[in-house]
Amino acid sequence: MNKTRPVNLDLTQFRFPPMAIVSICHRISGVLLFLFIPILIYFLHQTLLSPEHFATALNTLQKGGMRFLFWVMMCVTLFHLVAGVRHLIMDMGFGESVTAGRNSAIAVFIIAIILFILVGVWLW
Amino acid sequence: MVRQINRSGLLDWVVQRCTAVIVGVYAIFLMLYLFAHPALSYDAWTSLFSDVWMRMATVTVLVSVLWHAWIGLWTVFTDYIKVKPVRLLIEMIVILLLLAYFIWVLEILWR
Repeated sequence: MNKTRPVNLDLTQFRFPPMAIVSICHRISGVLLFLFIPILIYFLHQTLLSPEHFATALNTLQKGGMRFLFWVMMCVTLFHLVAGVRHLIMDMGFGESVTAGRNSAIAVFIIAIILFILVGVWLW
Repeated sequence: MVRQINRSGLLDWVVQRCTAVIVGVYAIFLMLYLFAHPALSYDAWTSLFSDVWMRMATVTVLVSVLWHAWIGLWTVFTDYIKVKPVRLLIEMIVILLLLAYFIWVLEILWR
């Protein structure tokens, strides 16, 4: 091995490209969605049980903390969805170049942030 | 003892994409439904889920979500959990959880 090769292990010097950030966020959001499954089924159960349970469940969801959790769950869902659509488009053979991949990764974040704001406006 | 189970990753790849489309369409439908009904009543909500098409769609989506989650989590576990017994234990817990969720939703829909 070449002993004089440049070595750079200063971690602050590394910059992750947008594609890598979308990729890891897609994974993290996927794991979070798995953790949200029981919460979603619980509310499906409660809202279908009886009119009283329905009213109580809607009341619970309106409370500050639960409303915020609901917003987070919607945001995670929407991010996973938007990043997934990018994946499917690339699977079909579109935008596979590095430049296109970088641009679509940035587009995923922009679209996602717009959707997060819209959901927030809807909930509050 | 089983050393290796020969199976193609292609099936996982295709299933991951097909289930993604199914769940995505259902999620968009449900979100638009909630947007369109700001003052949702109990009667409207229960009649939506008593419709036979909605029930079939919900069960299809349920199976899709659980299968999609399994493939995704399997990938994540294989990448990050390097101790095999620990990984197998967590995978078994996840499988049991996914089966429990499946039965739970069936009970809710056909109570």
